[in-house]
Amino acid sequence: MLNLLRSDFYKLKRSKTFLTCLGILALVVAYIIIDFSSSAYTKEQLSPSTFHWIYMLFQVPYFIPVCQALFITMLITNEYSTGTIKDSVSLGFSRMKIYLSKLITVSVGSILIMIVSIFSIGITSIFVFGIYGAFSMVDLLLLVRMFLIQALLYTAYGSIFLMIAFLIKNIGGTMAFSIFFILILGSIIGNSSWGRILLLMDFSPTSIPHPQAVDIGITTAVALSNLVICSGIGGFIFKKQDIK
Amino acid sequence: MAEYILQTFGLTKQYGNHTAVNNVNMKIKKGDIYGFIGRNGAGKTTMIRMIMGLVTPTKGEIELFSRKGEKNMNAGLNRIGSIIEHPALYPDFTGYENMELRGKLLGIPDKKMIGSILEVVGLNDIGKKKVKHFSLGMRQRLGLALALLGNPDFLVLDEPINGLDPEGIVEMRKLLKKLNEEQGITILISSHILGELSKMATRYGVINNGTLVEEFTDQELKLKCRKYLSLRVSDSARASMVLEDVFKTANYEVMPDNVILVYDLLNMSGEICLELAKNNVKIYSIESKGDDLEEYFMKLMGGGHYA
Repeated sequence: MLNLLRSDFYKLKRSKTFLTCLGILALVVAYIIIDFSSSAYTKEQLSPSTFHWIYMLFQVPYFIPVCQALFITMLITNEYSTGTIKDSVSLGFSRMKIYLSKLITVSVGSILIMIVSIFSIGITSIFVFGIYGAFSMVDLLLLVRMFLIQALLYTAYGSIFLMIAFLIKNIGGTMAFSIFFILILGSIIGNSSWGRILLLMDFSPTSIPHPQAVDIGITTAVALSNLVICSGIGGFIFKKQDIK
Repeated sequence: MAEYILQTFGLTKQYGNHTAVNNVNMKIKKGDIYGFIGRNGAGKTTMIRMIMGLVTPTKGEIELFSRKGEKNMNAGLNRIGSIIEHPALYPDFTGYENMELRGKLLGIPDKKMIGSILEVVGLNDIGKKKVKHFSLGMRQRLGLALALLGNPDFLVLDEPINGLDPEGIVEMRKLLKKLNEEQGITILISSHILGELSKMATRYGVINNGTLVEEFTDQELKLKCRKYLSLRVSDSARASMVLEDVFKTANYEVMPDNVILVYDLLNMSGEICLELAKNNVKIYSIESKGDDLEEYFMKLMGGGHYA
C-alpha cells in the first residue's frame, strides 16, 4: 500500500494539470478579492470583522470542484489512455488497495487546492483590505472547524469525480459528466427535498456560511456517506473491470 | 518432475456470445522461452491479460509458480515483468522518471539499478528526453527495462519486437537469450515475426480462434519441419537394404504402401534411383518434401494470414 501511495504521489507531484490548476486558482481568487476592493457597494457590505474575513477565505473559491474534476479526470483517465493503469494491477496489487491509494491521493490533492486558494485569498485580502482586528482563540477554532468541514466536503466531492473517472475511463466523457454533475445535477437534486433525504448533494461549499451546529452535523454525515458510498461503488467497479 | 512457472486449466473468456479464449491448458516450464503464436484476434493478448490479472476469466484456473488462488496469484504477479500490447509509459516523464516511478511501485530504493538496467537495454544516454519524443524502438526498449526492474523470474512479453529496426531485433533477441541462459528467467513471448521467434523459443504454443491448437518443443518443431525424400517403391524391404548397405544410413522410415521417407541424402536422389534400379527395385515416385517453419505454423493456424 505504501508503495502504491509513493507512486501515486510521485505522479501527482509531476501532474501538469494539477500544478496548472493550483496556479490558475491562486490567481483567480486573488483577482476576485482585488475586484471586490474596486466595488464601492461591496466595500460597504463588507464589515471589517475577523468573522467575515474567515468566511471569505472559504466562500470565495466556489469553483474548486471544477479544478478538482479537471485534475482528477486527467490523473485517472491518462492512466487508461496510456495503459499505465495496467502497471499496478499486473504487479499483483489488490485492486481495492489501488483504488484506495488513488482516493487518498486525490483527497490530498483536493485539500492542497483548498489550502492554496485559502492562502491566496488570505494574503491578497491582507494587502487589499488590511488586517481585520484581533485574531482570538475563538477565531482560530472557527478557522480550524471551517477548514476541517471543507476538507471533508472536497474529499467527498473528489470521491464522486474519482468514481466517475473509473466508470467512464475517457477524458471527454469523464469531464463532460463531471461538469454536468457540478452545474446541473448538483443544483437540481441538491435543492430538492429528496436530495436532502437521499443524502445527496446538500454539501455545497457555498452553503457553509452561517452554519448552525445541526447544519454542520448534517453536512458531515452527508459528506461521510457520499465518501463511503462513492468509494464503495468506485472500488467495486474497478474490481470487476476488465483492463484493456 | 518439471517445475512449471505457469499452468492454466480450462481457461476460458467469453465476451457475450463471442468466445475469445476457449478451454486453454497452457504449460510453461521453468527456463522455457515460450513462443506464443496466433493470428490477429486469435486470443493471444486476451490470454496474456488473464495471466496478468487484468481480465477475469469466465471459467478455468491459473496456477503461477505452482500456486493457485487470488492471493497467491497476486504474490506470483509480483515476480513477473511484462509488456502487454505496447509498453505502458508516462509520455510526459523522462525515461529515467518512468523507471523511478516503477521503482517506487516495486519498493526499490536503489537508483543505481535503474542506471544499470537502462544500460542493459541500450538507453543509458537518453538524458532528459521525454518519452513522448521517443521513437517506437526506444519505447520498446524502455518497456523492457521497466519489465526487468525488480529482477523478475518470469517475463511476459506481448509483441516486444514491434517497431524495432533489424539491428534492434537482433539485440533484443540476444538480450532475451542472455537473460534466459544467464539469469534463468523464463520468458513468454508472442510475436508476429515467426522467423525471429524460432531463433529464440525453446517451446511453442499455437493458438487459433481462442483454442490452443498445439504445444511443442523446438526439438519437436525441427523434426516436424525437417526436409526429406519421399520414395514410393515396389519393394520397401529391399529398398531399405540398399539404403543401409550402399548409402550407410539408418535415418529413414518405412511407411505403409511401400513408401519410404529418407531424412538425409537429400541431394542424392539421382544416386538413390540408380542403386535401387540396379537392385531391381522399381521407383514409382520420388519427391523432396517438408514444410518450412512458417508454412508449418500457418497450417496449424488454419492457413492464410498469420499474426
